[in-house]
Amino acid sequence: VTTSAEHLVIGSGAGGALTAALLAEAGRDVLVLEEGPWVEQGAVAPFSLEQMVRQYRHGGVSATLGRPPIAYVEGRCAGGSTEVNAGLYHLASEETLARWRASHRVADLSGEELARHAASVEQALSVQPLPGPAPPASLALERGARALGLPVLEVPRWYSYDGGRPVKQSMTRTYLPRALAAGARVQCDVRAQRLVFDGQRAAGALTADGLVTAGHVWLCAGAIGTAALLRRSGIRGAVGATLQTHPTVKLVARFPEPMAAADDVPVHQVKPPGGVLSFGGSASRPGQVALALAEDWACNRWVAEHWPEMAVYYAAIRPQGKGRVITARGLRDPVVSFALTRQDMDRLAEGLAQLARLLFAAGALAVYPSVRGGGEVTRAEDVDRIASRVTRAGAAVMTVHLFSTVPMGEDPRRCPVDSFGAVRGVRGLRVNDASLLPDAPGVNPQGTVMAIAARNVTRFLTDGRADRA
Amino acid sequence: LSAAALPALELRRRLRGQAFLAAFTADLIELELDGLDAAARRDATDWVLDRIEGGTDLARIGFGAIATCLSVAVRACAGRRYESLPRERRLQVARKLLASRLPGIGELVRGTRALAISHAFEERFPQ
Repeated sequence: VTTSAEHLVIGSGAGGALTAALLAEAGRDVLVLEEGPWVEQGAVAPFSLEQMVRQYRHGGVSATLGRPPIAYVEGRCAGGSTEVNAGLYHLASEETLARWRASHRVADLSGEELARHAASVEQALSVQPLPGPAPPASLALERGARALGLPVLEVPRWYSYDGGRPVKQSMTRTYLPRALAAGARVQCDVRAQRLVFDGQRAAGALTADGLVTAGHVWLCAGAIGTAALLRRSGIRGAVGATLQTHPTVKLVARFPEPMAAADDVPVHQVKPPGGVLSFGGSASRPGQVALALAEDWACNRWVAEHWPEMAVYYAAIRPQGKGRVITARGLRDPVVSFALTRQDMDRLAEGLAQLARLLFAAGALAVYPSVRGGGEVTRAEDVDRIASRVTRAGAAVMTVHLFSTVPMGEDPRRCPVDSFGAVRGVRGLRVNDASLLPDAPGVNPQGTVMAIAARNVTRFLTDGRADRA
Repeated sequence: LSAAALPALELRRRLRGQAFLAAFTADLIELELDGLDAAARRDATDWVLDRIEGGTDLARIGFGAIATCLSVAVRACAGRRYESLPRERRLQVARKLLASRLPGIGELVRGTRALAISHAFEERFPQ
């Protein structure tokens, strides 16, 4: 079976949904291929096991090769990770953009330029602060940070609050309906196996159902999926060689009062000076509390029953180490590796200890670091022993942020794509997702990914040469 | 499935360490999770095995390889397959594995335990 479209968008997450909507609204013929199913936002309880099974890639069971392995999760459904994440909105700082311009020679990426595109994204997603008080687990972070004199902020989210009911404005509620309304076609449960070419020009993709031909192909399958698809299609070089993440280690805090943490995630984040560490709160349903306690289950199993008074927090870093995405014959999935440096491990250890101090300052009765043999710590004076447990063998490291496998920029040695996502050496092929970020932004990346994607599509639509390129 | 195909499937299952993994997961749940009846333990075991089977190629192959090695090692030491050992002997072996910090075994135990515990708590305290 052969299907054709003027523009083929592979992936329907933050980058793909926005790309499809803007192209379709500009009158282009657009077909979106999404590997996962369409699940209406709200049809599945957020952060539940059912969500893991239905909307996460590999049911949420994926980890990088390396010591320590890093567990990671990605959305695999219409809307991608926007359907399953916490909905916290940041934009890369001016300092981060300056670093990207210097390190990768990214052109035309000023704070002003990014903010211009971010404004339309923020409006489309109803980005706003919580209308009422933050959840107790979030207020505890704020209280602890203020007690220790650390910078803390309440992060806005892409939620609407019509009638007081919070509804996440993920891609299935925003850009995908816009794309459909403008005439785009969205095909779910279809996996692009590899790209096809006509000489030096991308000509479409091969799926299990047949061939999809297109004049322009936009890769938006996420940092791992996009890199894997390029590599499977014979485009290798630096593709996949510079995977970046925000590695995190977790800790459970027990308070004297109920935290209602199962209902929502904290919106406060703490950003200690230096730009490397950050602290925040995670989903804390009973299963997640127990999961975070599981590293020292022999000690912690007795307190897990107290999950209503507990909340899960994380310490995250901007790492020095990097990872790789490679594909191998005979394997359906790419092999993902990540090597944390010694300094990364030290920073995770320092971060976890500092987070524990903060939570004691907020009134925690005890903390339970998610490291092997972490045990129960009941006094702020004892938190130093937490740091010594954060070892390559003992730390349970995880991440929900993956990027930088196809970094953009004008440095051809480091950047497989130009400053606007066009793949070097292949006409009609563009990357427009988290893969483009030159390195870890140090904040939740979706806002930045969407603003950059909007910038790239706008550039394509306004550049008369782009359609022919 | 034809009758002739069944032995081949069973052999493949054994080679992938699935019989060992199923028995070990059930024992881990019995030893580490209190208050679960037999049906809940079976549910949790099935859920863990489904998640491993649905994981990345790397996770599935990794878990399978470690489980196969352990299965062979137990058979060499105990003279019988893990899953056919007497109950007390089997739990004794399981306790040793749960306490192990050896790379590979440690990862298998951590992964299996994490999946089992999160499932059990979500089922026990539905939100």
